[in-house]
Amino acid sequence: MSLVDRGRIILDTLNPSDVQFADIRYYSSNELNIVAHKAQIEKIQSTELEGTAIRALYNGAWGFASVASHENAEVKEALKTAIKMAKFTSTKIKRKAIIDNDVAFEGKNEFKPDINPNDLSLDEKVELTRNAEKLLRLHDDRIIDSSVRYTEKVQHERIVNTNGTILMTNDLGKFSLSSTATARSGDIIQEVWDSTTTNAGLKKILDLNLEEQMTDLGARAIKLLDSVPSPSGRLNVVLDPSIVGVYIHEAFGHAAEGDDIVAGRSVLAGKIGKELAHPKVSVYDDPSIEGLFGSYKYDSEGTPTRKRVIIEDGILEGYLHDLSSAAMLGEGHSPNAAGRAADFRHMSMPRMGNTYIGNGEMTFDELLEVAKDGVYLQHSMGGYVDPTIGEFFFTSQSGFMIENGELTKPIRNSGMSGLTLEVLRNTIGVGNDLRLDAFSGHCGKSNLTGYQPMQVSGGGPHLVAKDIVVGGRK
Amino acid sequence: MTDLIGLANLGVTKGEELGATQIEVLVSSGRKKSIAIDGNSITGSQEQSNNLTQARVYIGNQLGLATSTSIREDAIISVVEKAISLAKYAPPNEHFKSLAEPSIREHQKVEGMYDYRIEELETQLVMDKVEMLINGATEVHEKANVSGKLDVDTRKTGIVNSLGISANQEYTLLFSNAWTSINLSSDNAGSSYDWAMTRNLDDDIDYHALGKKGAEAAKSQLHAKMAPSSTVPVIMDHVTTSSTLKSMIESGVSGFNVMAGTSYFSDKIGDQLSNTQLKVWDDPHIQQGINSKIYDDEGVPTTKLTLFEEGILKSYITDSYSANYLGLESSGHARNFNGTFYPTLHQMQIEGGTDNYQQMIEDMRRGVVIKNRGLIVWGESPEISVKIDQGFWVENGEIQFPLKNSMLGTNIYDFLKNISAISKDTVTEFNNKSPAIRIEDISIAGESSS
Repeated sequence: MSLVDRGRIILDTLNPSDVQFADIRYYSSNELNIVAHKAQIEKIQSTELEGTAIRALYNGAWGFASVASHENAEVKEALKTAIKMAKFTSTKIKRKAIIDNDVAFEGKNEFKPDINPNDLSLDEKVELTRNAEKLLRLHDDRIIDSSVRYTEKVQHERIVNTNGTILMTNDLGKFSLSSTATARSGDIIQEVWDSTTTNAGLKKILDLNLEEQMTDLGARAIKLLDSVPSPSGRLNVVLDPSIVGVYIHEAFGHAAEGDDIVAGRSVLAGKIGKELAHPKVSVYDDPSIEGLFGSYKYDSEGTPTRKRVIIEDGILEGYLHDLSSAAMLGEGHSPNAAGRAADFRHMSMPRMGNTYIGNGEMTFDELLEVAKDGVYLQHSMGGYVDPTIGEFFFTSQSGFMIENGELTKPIRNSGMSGLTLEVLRNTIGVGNDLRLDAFSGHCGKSNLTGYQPMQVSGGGPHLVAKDIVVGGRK
Repeated sequence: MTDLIGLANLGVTKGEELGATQIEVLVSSGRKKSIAIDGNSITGSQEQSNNLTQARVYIGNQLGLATSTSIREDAIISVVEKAISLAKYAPPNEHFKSLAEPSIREHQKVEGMYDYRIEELETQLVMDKVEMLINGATEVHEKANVSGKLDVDTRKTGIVNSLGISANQEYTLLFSNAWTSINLSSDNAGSSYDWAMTRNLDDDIDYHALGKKGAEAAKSQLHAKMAPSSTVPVIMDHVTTSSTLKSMIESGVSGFNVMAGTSYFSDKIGDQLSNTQLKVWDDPHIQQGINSKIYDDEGVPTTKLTLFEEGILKSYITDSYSANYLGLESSGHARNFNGTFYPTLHQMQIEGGTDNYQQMIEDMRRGVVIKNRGLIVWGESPEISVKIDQGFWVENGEIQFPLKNSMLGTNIYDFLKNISAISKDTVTEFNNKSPAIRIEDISIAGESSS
């Protein structure tokens, strides 16, 4: 009997008085990581996870339990625990969660890789990783540290719920080759990194021109040794597509997540239909695009994905919803497959997939002309946001001064801070060179079950914004 | 009770039978109960077991590493077999000399790390504690909106290696956080992130006070303005000092980073890097300490270690890999990040100086005070460009307004060199003792100066 059938039988034993809703998500994954560092293979690691996640909703309260097993007896015990926890919680709850019990999906999503990771030997994967690190290390003597990480992971979810949702299998791949180089000249230490990511299989990684990619990355690190510290103050900034990706992810995507809207801790709550951005700015999140790092067919609640329009021509159009946040906000809101969970130890919550700003019309040179004087920020280093007050920060790996509409001196270690709504309004030019996954990696967010890293991407075209706070030491 | 050392020994024996030259097996078992708060309401709760088996196998100097979420005997055998099969394929790592060896150091006893009362806490009682947190926040301001959680965590670990390391530890932990916001309008809002932890119910968290503290910090951020762009002194309160210096020092003294050549403190042992009053050490042996440890994550006994004395850099911290590379004995600072071991600090202590925190503020003509939140050092560069969270603009010895959308720029060398005052009063939070400090000549980015 399939896991899904076993799960359905277990759920069928529940009485309507036991729960408003419950689901069982069987999970398993296999992951391989290979790390080459300074001419050595420092790590070859296999990680296998197998377990079951169970949610129960009782009188507006959630209970969650997980168990590192797919065995019926243990799953039944975990279901009892989830219901018990939900019942305890219901005695204290002030704002009741709801689920639309008429929403159910059926489907099947089998992983069909473009190149199956099993078709390559471990030797070949080790050699690929080792070769990439060698190319990076040997680029220049001033590269004092270099590492390359190869990752492959395939996960399987099987989902049933009391609404009638049946997902026979929901598979997801994760493949990446990430490289880091550190160049040093005395006390000037500069770190750069880049990664190639996909969920489709190994083709994108095997098609890489490793020599060209590692040479480019090494050259970026070396160039920063001759850069100057970033200027400081309120400046006009041109952002490259990777920075735009992090910006729209951090500054806006998080604030559009349905759980934050329901809890009243987002600056976007209650602003549907309002003009929040320059009319040339549109923001989307689309996990249904094939092959990107943040793509998936169904979320961890079994809802099929689709393109989500967040801002269209400057107007806020919608949020990212799981089953519960959509039901709690009511009319005009429907689940749009944002309910994602990292693995069986975690409860799902609204998350992004591939978030990006839509294309504009201006060329890169035209954006520089609009900026006139300021800074050009390149290659995201990371960032964070406080969606409750809409203040965000991110930092770049490199950049240039813009003087009289032209790129001049290279700059290093430049961070940017801003207010979500103000920066969207201060955008004064949108480029025509959209790159969907200019940034990709893992986004972190916590809920009841703790911190959950999630594979995502972000992107957009180059854009220019005025009067942005840039932090440097000049 | 599960015999974790016995299970780990089973894995080690199996690994040796299969040809491992050296093998280390970690078996860990834990339970966690959590209550979530969202928008001033308890919304959910969870209970789960968290188990882990991890095998690190060397055949010669070829490494294989395997991990599973099961601690059944068959799963442990399977993990070891997987690690062996990977090690057979791995190219040799010339930097590897040996797994951790039994130390000449005696392990120190650390009391109060496991409280059976925490393990047995009733869910109803835990929910009452969470309600106290919500009440503490909402009593401060009617628009206070608090989200967060309370975790009740119990964990036992056993680690055995083929060189004779055999160490088991057990912990209980109550952890609670509160992410509080007060939103009066789209351009007038304040927020704060606060947390508290304890290992022992005799020293239980004051949940009401935690909620209140978060809401008061959020309230203090209302009516915020951008800082004038300028170069001014910055005062960091005790918590900010502790967190910021830990972030800077931990990366700089990391033996792994020294080995890689990326440490900004490479070749600086014995150099005067900071104020002569700066004395910093690491203490893993504080009773009931949140990060106290008898053994590090490789089973090596931990030890107190001086990092700065009179502003002079004294030592690096190491795990077995970096220690062997650098020709040192492991300092007992290995931390296991999903199978990758890096040296990290346990509980950093900073000695008080001769100044007074309040007096520092009163003496400040123009500058910034940062409270309650450390600066984050991103990446390996000594350059710092970060947003100021919970900062205040000071003029003529008085706080004028809270800061929003303002940034700080410096580099680590200048930061340490320019510490011009260290308070004699210290605060110990989560077992990290710290004074407040003042740093001169920090570049602040905010409103254009005109």
